[in-house]
Amino acid sequence: MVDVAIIGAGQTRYGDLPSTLKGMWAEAAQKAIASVDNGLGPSLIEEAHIGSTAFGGEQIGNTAALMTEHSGMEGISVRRVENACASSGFAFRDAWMTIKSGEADIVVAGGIEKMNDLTPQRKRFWLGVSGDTEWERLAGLTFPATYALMARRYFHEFDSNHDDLVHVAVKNHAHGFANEVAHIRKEVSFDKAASGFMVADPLTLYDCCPTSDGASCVILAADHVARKLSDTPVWVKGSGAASDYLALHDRESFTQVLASQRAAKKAYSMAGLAAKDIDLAEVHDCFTIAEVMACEDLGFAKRGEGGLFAREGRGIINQGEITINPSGGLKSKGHPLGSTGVGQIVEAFKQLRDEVEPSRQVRDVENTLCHNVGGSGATCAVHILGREI
Amino acid sequence: MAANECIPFHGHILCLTPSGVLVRSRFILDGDRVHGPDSDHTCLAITGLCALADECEITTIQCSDDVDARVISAYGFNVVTQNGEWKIVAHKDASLSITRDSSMLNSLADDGEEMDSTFYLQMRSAWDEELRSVSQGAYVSEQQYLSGLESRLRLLAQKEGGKYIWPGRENNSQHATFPLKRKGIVESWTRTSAAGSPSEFALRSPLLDGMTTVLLALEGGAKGAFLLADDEDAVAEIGSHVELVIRRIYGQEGLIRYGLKARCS
Repeated sequence: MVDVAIIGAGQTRYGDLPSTLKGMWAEAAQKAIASVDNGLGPSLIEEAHIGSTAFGGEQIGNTAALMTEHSGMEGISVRRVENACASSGFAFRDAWMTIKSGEADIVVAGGIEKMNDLTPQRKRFWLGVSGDTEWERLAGLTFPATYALMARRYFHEFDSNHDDLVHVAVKNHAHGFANEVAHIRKEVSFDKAASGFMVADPLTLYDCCPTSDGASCVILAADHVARKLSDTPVWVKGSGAASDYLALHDRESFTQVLASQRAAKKAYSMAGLAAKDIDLAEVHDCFTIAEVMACEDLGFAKRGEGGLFAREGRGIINQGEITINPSGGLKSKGHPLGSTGVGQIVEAFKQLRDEVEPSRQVRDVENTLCHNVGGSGATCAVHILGREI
Repeated sequence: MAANECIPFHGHILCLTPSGVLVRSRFILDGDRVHGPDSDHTCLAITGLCALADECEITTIQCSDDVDARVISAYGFNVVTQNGEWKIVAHKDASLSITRDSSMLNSLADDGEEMDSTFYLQMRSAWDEELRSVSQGAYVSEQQYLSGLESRLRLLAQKEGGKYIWPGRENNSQHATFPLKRKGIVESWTRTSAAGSPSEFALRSPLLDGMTTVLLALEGGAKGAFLLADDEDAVAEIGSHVELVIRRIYGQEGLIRYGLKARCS
């Protein structure tokens, strides 16, 4: 079966941006196309899969058709992929499968979200829409509250406390400080992060990612095309995806995300790799507790030791066996819902090609993992990318 | 008839008499009995009916206009529009009687907690405004709310592999359902900030200085998330036991959504 590589990647800066959906997508797509080593015209792209939750409703229906119309890809097969915050992780997987199936040779995967042009009241109606509306929202839960329930239970079950989450926030802000596309480029001290405004006890403002605008785009190609168009293709070595019950109360455990474990198992198996082989991981730290659990679910830390992993600084860039979230993660780089998954892949692509800012370039990176979670863990896509196939 | 024996029950005051039950809010403002932060006559009626059902068999119920008959019915009581065995009669204040002859009971007991007048007026105003609001995003329609109401209020669970599942799954809709005990043990909890609650609670949450949600282990392995009733000062702790009582959840487009909320027992 054909192998698949990423030959181009681009994204907008994440943040509170003046541009609209169309403008952000056009920018990300142009950057992705321009990054193809040996040149690529948009007319050669055969399909597009674009993740978006249509947050706020700027263009709820037929979003992908509108996006491709503004990026020179008119007329091709397109669709919007929606799986909450994991929308573009799944869009990427769908694009990968399109090539794997033999249906197309050059396919775009992207993601986009516009979150900051809403009034505060309207924004609150949209935040948390990907939880179980009927049973969780009526219990007063939005995602900060849902992850707060997970955090408190985690502290109860394991040797961990809020300080461990503070270490995650401090690390990711330090990483994101050097990232030119990050939403919040600000380092924070331990004391400041420990004393943040309480959002949902025990989670403070510094435990929560920002709501960001942004778009991301990557170009995937079949091996025989990739080797012609790119001198340094990044190979998709493993892809896994899974789901779990939507509502937290239906799940087997509140302190692990089984969808992550299932998706990671598939991706590792396909790649023929294990957690110890991963040099860099972009994990879905929508809240700091999510990174602690992800490090366990993905096998970087033992069960119950994700807090210790953070406390010991084992994910800090170039200081241990693995770097976690060199981009700053969702916490600092930002979280434009539909864009986040492919945004992680843009980061991995650039790290593997030594194209990020020198101060945050991970040394000798061979294998990377991107972990994109929808909601509080109802969906998850995991991809393993590498220099060699 | 005047009742002399009154007890706290479901966060209200329950007075049993030979003629029936009198249910009163435990809150008083300037000498008048007023509803609590998330209660009304429908909540008082359920409380009274639960107490009455412990004493005798209830065949049929006839509701007054101040009580949402759909909620009474969903809770498991047989509501009729005329010739009901028991009649719910709402008083002008925050109390009601449930009797066979539509008589209004009263109590000589002068019990109750004084409520802050500013807080009371702000909460009532917030409820009124909330009822006029419309969704601009997430939305539980009247149809969806009503279709799940019986399961929500009676905790109707399905049994699968020796374990209870609540709420049930549609693919198992032919399975028998079992009402779980309205009790639970706190497995986790959080208190959201005033700005951290869903938009449906945006007007009341600041008045309550945030809202508390508990994640409960229910009977037989089922679990569920619930708001705290009355959002009182009771502190939730992992491992503590709670009872589930009916309260208002939120209002939208003219419809109050009711559900179970947790009270520390």
